[in-house]
Amino acid sequence: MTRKQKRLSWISTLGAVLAVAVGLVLYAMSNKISFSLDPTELMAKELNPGERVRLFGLVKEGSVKRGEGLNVSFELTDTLNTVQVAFNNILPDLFREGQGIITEGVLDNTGLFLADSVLAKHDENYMPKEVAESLKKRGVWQEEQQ
Amino acid sequence: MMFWILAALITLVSLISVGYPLFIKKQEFVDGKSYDKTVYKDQLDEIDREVERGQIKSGEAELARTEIARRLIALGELESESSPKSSNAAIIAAVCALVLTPVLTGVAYVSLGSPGRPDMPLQARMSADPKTQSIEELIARAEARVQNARDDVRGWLVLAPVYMRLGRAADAVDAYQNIIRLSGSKPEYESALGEALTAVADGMITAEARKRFEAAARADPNDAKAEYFLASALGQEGKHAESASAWETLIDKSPQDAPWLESANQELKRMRQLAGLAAPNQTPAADNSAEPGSPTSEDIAAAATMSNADRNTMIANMVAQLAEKLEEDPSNLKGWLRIIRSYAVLGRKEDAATAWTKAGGVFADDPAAVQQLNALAETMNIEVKTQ
Amino acid sequence: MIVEIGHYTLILALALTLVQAVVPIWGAIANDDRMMATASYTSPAVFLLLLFSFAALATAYVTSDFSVQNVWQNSHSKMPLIFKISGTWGNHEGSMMLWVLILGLFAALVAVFGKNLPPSLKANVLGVQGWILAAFLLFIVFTSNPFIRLDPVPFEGRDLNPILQDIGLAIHPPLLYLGYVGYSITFAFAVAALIDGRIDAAWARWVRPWALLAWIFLTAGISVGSYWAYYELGWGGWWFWDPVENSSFMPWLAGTALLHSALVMEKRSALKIWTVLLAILTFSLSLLGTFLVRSGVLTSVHVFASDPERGLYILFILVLFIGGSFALFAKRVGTLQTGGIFAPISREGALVFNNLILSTATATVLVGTLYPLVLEAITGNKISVGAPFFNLTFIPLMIPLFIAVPFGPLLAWKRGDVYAAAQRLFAVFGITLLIMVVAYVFLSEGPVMAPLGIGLAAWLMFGSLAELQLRSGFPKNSFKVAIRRLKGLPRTVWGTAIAHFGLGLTVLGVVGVTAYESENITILKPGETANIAGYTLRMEGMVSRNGPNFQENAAQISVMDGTRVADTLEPSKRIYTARNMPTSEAAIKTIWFSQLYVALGEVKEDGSAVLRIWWKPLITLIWIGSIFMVLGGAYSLSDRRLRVGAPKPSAKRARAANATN
Repeated sequence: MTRKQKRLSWISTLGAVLAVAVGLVLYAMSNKISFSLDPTELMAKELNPGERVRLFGLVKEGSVKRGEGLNVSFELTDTLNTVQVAFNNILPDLFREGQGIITEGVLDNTGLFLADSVLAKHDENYMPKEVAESLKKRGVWQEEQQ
Repeated sequence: MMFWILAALITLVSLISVGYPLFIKKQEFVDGKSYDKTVYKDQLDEIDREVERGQIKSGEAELARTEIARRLIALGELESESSPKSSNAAIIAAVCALVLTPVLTGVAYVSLGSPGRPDMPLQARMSADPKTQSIEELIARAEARVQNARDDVRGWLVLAPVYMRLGRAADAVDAYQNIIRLSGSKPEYESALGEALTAVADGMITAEARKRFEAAARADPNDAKAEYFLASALGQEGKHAESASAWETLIDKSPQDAPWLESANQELKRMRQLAGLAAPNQTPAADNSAEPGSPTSEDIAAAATMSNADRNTMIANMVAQLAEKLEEDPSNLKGWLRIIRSYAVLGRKEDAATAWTKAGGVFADDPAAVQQLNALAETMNIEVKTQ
Repeated sequence: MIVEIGHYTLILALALTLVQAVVPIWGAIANDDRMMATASYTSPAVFLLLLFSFAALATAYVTSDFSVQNVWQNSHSKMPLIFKISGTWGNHEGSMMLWVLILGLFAALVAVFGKNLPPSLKANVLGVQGWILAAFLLFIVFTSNPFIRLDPVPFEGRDLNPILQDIGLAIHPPLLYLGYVGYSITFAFAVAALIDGRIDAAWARWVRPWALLAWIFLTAGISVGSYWAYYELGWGGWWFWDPVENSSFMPWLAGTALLHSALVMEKRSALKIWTVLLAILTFSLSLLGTFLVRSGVLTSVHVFASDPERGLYILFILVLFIGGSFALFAKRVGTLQTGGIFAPISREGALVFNNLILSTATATVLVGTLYPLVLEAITGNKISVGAPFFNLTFIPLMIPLFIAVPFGPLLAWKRGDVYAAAQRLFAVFGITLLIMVVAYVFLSEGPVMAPLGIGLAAWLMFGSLAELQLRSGFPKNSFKVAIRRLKGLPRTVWGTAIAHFGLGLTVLGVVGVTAYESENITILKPGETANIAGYTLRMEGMVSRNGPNFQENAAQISVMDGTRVADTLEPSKRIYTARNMPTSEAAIKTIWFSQLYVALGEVKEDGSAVLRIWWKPLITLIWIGSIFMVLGGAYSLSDRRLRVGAPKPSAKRARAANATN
């Protein structure tokens, strides 16, 4: 191989790998990324049917209802709006009423949020950052609140 | 002083690491390039070894050798390093370092640290002289003992009332449960456990607490505490008439100077009102001696005929009067007891706690008075914040 | 008084570090040998001071000295001793102390073991390390000082976050930091070489052992962290593509690339610019990771003790060091000579391919990690980039790399013969194909791609063994000869084979657990049973008990072997009393390389309990594979070639020196 051919083969390998990487990243960005929303934003947002989103907020006091088996439903609130959430799995240890949590799942056409994962953050103030910010934005956050 | 001597010693030893190379150690000159040469020579040796083992073909080895040789040549073409000199810079650097290091350290440490402050490991604090220890520390010691011997009922007996007094109701529940587990059910333990459970539930008499009080009342029909809380429980459930008659029974049974009488009377009145019953026709049994600020029978009679709002104003006025008097003459124990009780009855929990703390300070040297104050706090469920 | 002496030595270390940061580099510029030599003495002194300071803090933890604010905030007198000790670094201040201690350790190691380094390079390396140390010590002393005292002294501590009360935490951060911080040395080497202006094959030889050492620790640290998250968080997952995990994984990817490119640079004097750049990038990614973890700008499942304000200071350090080193790099890059040339198909070519893939992969992880931050800053939209993104972008990139791995060591330097290499790998290819067919026939329930994954793992494992087989000449040579030749192989060859074999094991574990995992979420009353992967689990009942600083409610579950009870698992829920914080403790039974994993959910009034049971086939191979990688790295490190001696001083001067002694 001449020097030129060598250089050409290097550049084409580099180009191929980068093209594949960029392609994958772009594809993944449009398909594998989900929005993180609080209930107010969820209601305002036009979502494609079946689009996965992250929903975060406070578990409303007195709203947790346990059904048959593992079925549990609760309301998630940012104090302005509330979304009904259904979940069918083990809740995390730190899940309790009044606690800020993050759920992931899809909104069905009746306005029920079908969550397939619920996270309660293991933070020392038991409040996920998103939830804290959302509450601050809605003007109901007090620093002492936990 | 000891601290500064140690600190100075450490500083001195550390500074040797600066002073030794700069002032004392003779440096042996080695040309920087010879380090590279060593590496390349080793690479050449390595190729020989690989050829020996048959790991590379001789043609490849030759090529590799040429390449390394070229590196050696290139190295030789570099300007040879001048032999390093010992410049004055070294002296300047050394002096600066030796002076500035301790000065900076000292200044920064004095402004940030607490020079010479002793360590305070828990073990040492535990075994310190009890006389110098705070109540909290003493409790912690007792707790430590109990943790090691969970079946030692004496420890629990000491701790249980202390927990109640400090407002650590959940711990008190645990303690009384242990007492009952170890020494069997006794009415006074049952009712104390009930009281602790009630305190945990913020004054609500829960089903479990109620069971305890009922057990106590069954075993000892004269257990005033159990009766007191059972009467309250009826009130909380909205059975006002039954509650009122329970209060009546309790008041009838109680001795004239029972500390709970006043609040029992208050409750009785309230229950009657809620149940729509007539006001009691006898004056409540109260201490009528002419203590400063104590209500006279006329006052009480007047109070009975007043409207709710007026009565509250009157009571508030009386309490305020009493508070003023106590400011002037804090040695009046009965006055303190009354004001604490009044605050508690009026639901002014914080005032009650403050008054209790103040009174505790005044009578710190009088064990009998402290006992009375403590007993009052216990029955009134006053939560005293401890720092 | 130990605490106060500890505080004093910390500040003294800072002052002495400033000397270390200034005097040696000044000496290198002024060509003053005594000033250059200072670093070799101050570095160990700084390390000893830091060690004392750290020990003082640990003592305060062990003795529950709640007069120290940091101890009061993060400890409890009733914690077991091991967690009192690990609590020292289970919080922001303490973990920064560990960070600088390790920075100091690496500087001291270079000072003591770097006798083979040219004096000016050594002085510059230690000087640069001094700058890093000084920046972090300033940060600790003035914003995160762990020695602040309290008055009056509280009687009981506020307890360590229960999640962190685990043996995994005791070893995970120190290992991870040894890796993270270890790359500060390769960074210092790169910057020192840029200051010096002389970068050649010898430099690569000097830097390789340090890159390898840091890589070993980082590999071990990530692996322990992964296992810790697996059993402590109780979610059954071993890797979440969480920002915190990513921030340790990015330096690992870049560091792995560095390991390979330094090899090319040493052998062929090629890839100089790239290697220096990688050394800078790797430590930059470590700093970035520290910033992300410490500042809490990203939401993560395991960020503890984050503090945005102090994060800002770390950002400042980050910008200072990354910016400074890149500016220096830009200034010097023109003066670097290009090295040896090589054909695309050659050992170098394979290693360049490795670097290309690894750095592209690092970039995709970086994009995925930072994208939510950038998007939120620009549009205000919050998004989450999770496992699906990374699985889709990262895994396809790795496949060609894994296919290429066995070829690398078989190709000759400069110009290789890919057909010859392929021929040599023919047997390996046959074995791989056979395994794939067997997997396809016998493992019908998994996804279609799974046998291909198993084949890839087999390819890696047998391919890495192929080099040893070829080098031994077996079966052409007699068995005896083969053994002798194997014994005579350089340790780096063995190390490479072991580490690549370990990579294959990890891949096999990942494929096994991803493709064939089964899960059963069920509610069991006492006496009821559940089935999973051929095992029967019987719920026996609940037990309550008290731990030292927690109360525990455990389910007793018998693993049945026919009618016989083979084992008992006790998944539990704990309440840590000081913080009133609940945690779950999963119960795990290891069967060969697979695991039965049981987590306890809610317990209902009637004594029935929600249980989440997983069968995790081959999962332990993930971590066993990383143990192989660590062992391979350690064995390579012991190769004599990485420990070239120092040149002898010229005879005349030496004699003169002797005469004066």
